[in-house]
Amino acid sequence: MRTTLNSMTFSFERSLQQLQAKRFNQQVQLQTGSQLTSISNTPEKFAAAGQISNLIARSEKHQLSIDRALDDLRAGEEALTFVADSLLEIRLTAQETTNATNFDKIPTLAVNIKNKLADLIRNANQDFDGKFLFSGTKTTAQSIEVPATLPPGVVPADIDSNPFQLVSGTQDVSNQSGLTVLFKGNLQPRLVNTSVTSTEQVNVLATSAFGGTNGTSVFDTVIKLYNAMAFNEDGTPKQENQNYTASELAIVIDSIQEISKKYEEMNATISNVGMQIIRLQSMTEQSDTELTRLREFKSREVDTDYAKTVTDLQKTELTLQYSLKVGSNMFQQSLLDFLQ
Amino acid sequence: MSFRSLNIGKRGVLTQQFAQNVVSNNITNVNTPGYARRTAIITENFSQDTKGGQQGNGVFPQKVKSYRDFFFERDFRDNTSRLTNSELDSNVVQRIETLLGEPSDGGLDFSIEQLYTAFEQASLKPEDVGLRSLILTKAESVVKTFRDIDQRASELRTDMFVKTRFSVQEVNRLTNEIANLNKEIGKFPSEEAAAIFVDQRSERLIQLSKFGDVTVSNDQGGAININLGNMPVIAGTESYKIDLRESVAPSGERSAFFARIDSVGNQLSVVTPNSGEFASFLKHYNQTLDDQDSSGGYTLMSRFNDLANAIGTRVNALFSTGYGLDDPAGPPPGLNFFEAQGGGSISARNIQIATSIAGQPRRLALSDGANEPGNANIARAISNLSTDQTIISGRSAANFLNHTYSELGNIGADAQSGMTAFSLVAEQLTIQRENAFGVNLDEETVDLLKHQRAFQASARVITTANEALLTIINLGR
Repeated sequence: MRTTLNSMTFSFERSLQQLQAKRFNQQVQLQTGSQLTSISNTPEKFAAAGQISNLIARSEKHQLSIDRALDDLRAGEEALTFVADSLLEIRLTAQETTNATNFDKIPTLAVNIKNKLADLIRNANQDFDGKFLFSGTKTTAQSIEVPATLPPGVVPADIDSNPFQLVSGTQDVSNQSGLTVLFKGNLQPRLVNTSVTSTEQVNVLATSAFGGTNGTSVFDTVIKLYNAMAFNEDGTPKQENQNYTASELAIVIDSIQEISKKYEEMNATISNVGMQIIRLQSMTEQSDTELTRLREFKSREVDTDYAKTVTDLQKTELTLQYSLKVGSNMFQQSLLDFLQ
Repeated sequence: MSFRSLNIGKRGVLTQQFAQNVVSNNITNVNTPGYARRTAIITENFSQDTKGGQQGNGVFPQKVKSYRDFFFERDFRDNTSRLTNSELDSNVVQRIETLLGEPSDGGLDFSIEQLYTAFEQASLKPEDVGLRSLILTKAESVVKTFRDIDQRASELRTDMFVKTRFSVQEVNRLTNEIANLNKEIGKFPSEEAAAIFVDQRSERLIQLSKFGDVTVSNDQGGAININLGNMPVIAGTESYKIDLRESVAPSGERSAFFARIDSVGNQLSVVTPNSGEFASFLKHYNQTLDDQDSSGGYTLMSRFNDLANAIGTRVNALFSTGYGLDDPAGPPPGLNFFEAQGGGSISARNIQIATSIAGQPRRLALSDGANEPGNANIARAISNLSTDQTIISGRSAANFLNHTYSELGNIGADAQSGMTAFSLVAEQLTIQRENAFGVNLDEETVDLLKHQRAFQASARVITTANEALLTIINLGR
C-alpha cells in the first residue's frame, strides 16, 4: 500500500489530539472531582444528577423545617411542663388550706397562690427564638393589640404587649379580687412543611394548653380559688385565723378538682407534643437515611471514580508517550538519511 | 548517423531534466495543501523507418500527469461541510454551557431552588426580618442569573452575527478567486495542462465547503459552476456576491438570512445552505438563541423567558394575597413580588423584584392574615412551588430546566458524535487522498535518482556519439 509522509503525520496528529483531549478530560475530572465536565459529554447523567440534586435539596429543606419544628415543639413542651408543675403546686397549696389545722394560714397561702398565678402567666408568655409560644400566629409584641372589650375598671393604658396579662379590674361579689387574665393572641396554628404533601403544626394553641374556649380557663380557675382563699363572700379581705365558710370550702374543693382535671389535660397535651416530637424525630431519621441514599446515588452518578480515573490517566499518559516516541521515529527515518 | 545519436542523447538529457523538475516540484510541494502529485509521462519518440527496420528516435516528455479524482474530491467537500457544521454546533453548545454555568452547583436552577428555600426558612420564623431579607437577596440572585443568561446569550448571538459577516467576506473572496481560476484554466487546452490552477481551485472549493454545502457542475473550457446551498454563486467565470442580512417580523422577531446580491447590493435571492458554518449559524441565531423565535424548534432563550414569566406569575399570584408585617387589617395590599422592568409581561430580560417591596423585607407578604407575624402560610405556599408540577409545561421549574439542559446536552452530544464521525471520515478521506495523490518522499527520491541516472546515461550517449564522430573525422586526416 502506498503511504505518504502527510498521511502518516495526519494520522499521528489526530491521534495526538485525541489523546491530549482525553488526558485533559481525565485531568479535569480529577481536579473537579466530578465526572460531569460538560452537559454534552453525558446528557443522561446530567439529567439524572439534576433530578437527584432536586430531591436532595427538597429533603434538606424539609429536614431543616423538621429540625426547627422540633425546636419549637420542645420549647412548648418545656413551658407546658413548667405550667403543669406550677398547677400541681397550686393544687397542693390549696389542699393544704383545706386541712383544719392550717386555717390560720389561709391568707398567707392565698398570697402564695397569687404569686403562682403570676408564675403561670409568665410561663404562658414564654417566648422561644423571639416568638411567643402560646399566642397563635400573633407571635411578636408588636402584633399584640388592646382587646376590643376590656373588663370593667381596666383601661387601654393598662394593657401590655404580652399575649397573657393579669389585670386588676373592678372588684365585685362575683370576682372579689377583680383579677382577670386577658388573652390577646389568636388561636391560629403555625404550620411548617415537613414533606412535599404534609405540614406539621409547631405551636400549642392556648385552648389546648390552658383550656376553655378562649385559652384562659386554667387561670380563671386559679383566680376563683384565690378569691375564695383571699376574700370573704362579701368581698372583704379574709383575716388571719379566719376559716372557710361552707360555700367557700365548696369552691376551694371544686377548684382543686378542676385544677386536677386541668393538670391531667395539660399532661395529655404535653404527652401529645411528646408523641409529635417522637414522630418528627422518626421522620428526621427517615429523612437522614433517604438523604444518605440520595447522596450516595448522586455520588455514583457525578463524582469521579478516582481509582479508575487515575488508572485511566496513567494509561493515557503511557499511550501518549509511546505515540510521541513513534512520531519521533517516523520523522527520523527517510530514504534521504540513508543516501547521505 | 552520429548526429542522430547526438540528437537522441540531447532529447534524453532534456527529457530527464524535465522529469527531474517534475519530481523536484513534487518534493518541494510535499506540504502544500491541496497539492496532487504529478508524474512526467515519458514516451519514445517517433521511430524512423530504415532499410534495417524501424530505428528509435529517443525519448520525449509526452505530458505531466496530475493525479486527481473528482468523485473523491466531492466526498471530501461534502464531509468537510458536515464536519464544520458539527464543529460549530458543538462550539455553540459549549459556549451556551459556559454562559449557563452548567454543569455546576451555581446555575439558574440552584438560584431558583435557593429562593424557594429562603421562603421555606422564612416560613419557620416569618417574624425574623433577617430571614425576610434573605428572601430578597436570593430573589435578587435569581433575577441577576436570568438577566445575566439573557445578556450573555444576546452577546453570543451578536458575536456570531459579526463573526459570520467576516465569513461572508471570506466566501465572497473565495468565489471571486474560483471564478478567476476558471478564467485562467480556460486559457489552457486541457485541465491537465492547467494542473496548478486546478489544484488551487480544488483547494479553494474545500475552503468554500466549510461554509456551506457546495455543488459543483462542469461548464465550458474547464470552468465549473458552483451552488452554495440552493443558489448559484459561481457561473463559469462570473461570481455572485452574498451578504448577511436581517429581517424584522412585525412581532419583533429578528431573523438572519444570506442573500445573493447584485453589484450595487440589491437582493437577488435568498441563499439557504443545508450544512456547513452558515447552516449552523442560521440554526443557532434564528432558533437556539432567539428569544422571539416562532419556528417551533429548540429555542433555549424563549424557554428562559417562559420560565421567568411562569415563576413570576405564580409567585405573584400567591404573594399578592398576603400581608406584610405592618399591613393593617382589611383587604391585602395586593403587591407583586416580581415585575417586568418597563412594564409588560415578565421575561428573562426584564424580570426584577417589584419596586414596591425591593429593600423592604417587612413588606414581604408572607402571611395570609393581617397582623399575624407568625403566620407563614403564603411563604409556605410559595416554597411549595418548588415541587409544583404545573409551573410550566407540566413540570416544576427545576424539572423544566433539567429537561431544557438535557435537550441542549443532546444537541451537543449529537454535534460531538457528528464531529467524531465526520472527523473519522475526514481522516480516512485525507489519508486515502494522501495515499492516492499525495507526495511520498521516498518514492520521489527514488524517481529523482532514476532520472538523475538516466540523465547521466543520456549525457554519456552524447559523449560517446561525440567520440565516435571525432574518430570518424580523424580518419580523414
